[in-house]
Amino acid sequence: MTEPSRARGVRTDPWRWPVRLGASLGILSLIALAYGLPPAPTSTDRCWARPGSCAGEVHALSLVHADPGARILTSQRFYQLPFSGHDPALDRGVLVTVEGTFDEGGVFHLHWARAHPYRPHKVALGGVGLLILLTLIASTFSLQRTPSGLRFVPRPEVGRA
Amino acid sequence: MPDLVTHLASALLPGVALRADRAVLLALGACLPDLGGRLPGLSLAGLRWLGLPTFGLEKLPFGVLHQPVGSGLLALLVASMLPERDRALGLLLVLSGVMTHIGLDVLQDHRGHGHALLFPFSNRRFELGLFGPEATVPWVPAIVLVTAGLWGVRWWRARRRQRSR
Repeated sequence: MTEPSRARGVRTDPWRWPVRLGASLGILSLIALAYGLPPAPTSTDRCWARPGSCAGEVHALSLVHADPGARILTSQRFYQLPFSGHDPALDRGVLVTVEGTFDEGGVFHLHWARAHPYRPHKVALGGVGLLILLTLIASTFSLQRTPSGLRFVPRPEVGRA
Repeated sequence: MPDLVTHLASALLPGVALRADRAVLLALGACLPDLGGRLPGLSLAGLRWLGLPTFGLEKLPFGVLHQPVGSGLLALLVASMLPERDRALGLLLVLSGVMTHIGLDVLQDHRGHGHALLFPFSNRRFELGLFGPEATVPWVPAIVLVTAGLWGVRWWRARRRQRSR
């Protein structure tokens, strides 16, 4: 308890600094530990692609044309590169989620790739879910200033419901 | 990950048996791994797409906050924002929500590239591979209807009880 708060008879919240500081430092440490850590390679779907051609999500067709010799394992089948057949799904803009690392020679080592139909619905649902959650929090809790800082306090009429 | 609405429903469905504020804490916990592990990266990438400077922060591995230890630390931060008398139960509820999220995510199939559940103690990844990450999307309308229906019945019963007093 600090002197002024002790003088006022206000008990300092023990979670205010030690827990928040500890949790924040823990989060920063986790991010620092994971920084630069290569994703774990898997045994079945290792292949190589050119640097810059496949960071994040790319159109399967461009990856197929860019990377001769590589194989992409999708949820349905293997695509041996270059892809010589015709898969209408690829033309419709199937995306390939890829993850890998660049070596010193600038070659991108693809650790895994997964082709999947592009579903903007899922991204939109993330926004909808976030809005619902914020609405629920706002209708259930109120943000109040207390002697030991800001607190989310359950609204009395909701807390009893 | 399944979509966020499914995660929300996975907490609100059992939460129908709890007090409303407790159910919301459970729901918050069910969204917390995505809020910590996905939202910062996606938001920063969006800002970058708009041409705003992000100083490369979107490349930070926020994904560690999607794992149990990272999400647990986020839950501690959330619980520290609750009044002292509600804090222990609040932490338990948020952590339970986090468990439902990770439990659902572990069921998915990312071709062996699952979740590093023990990070930072181990980088070993694990998943059960039962369904694809987009498999829940077509079910969302039904999931929302069932969840809203149950909460509607609960609200109606609470109102009727209040009137009869």
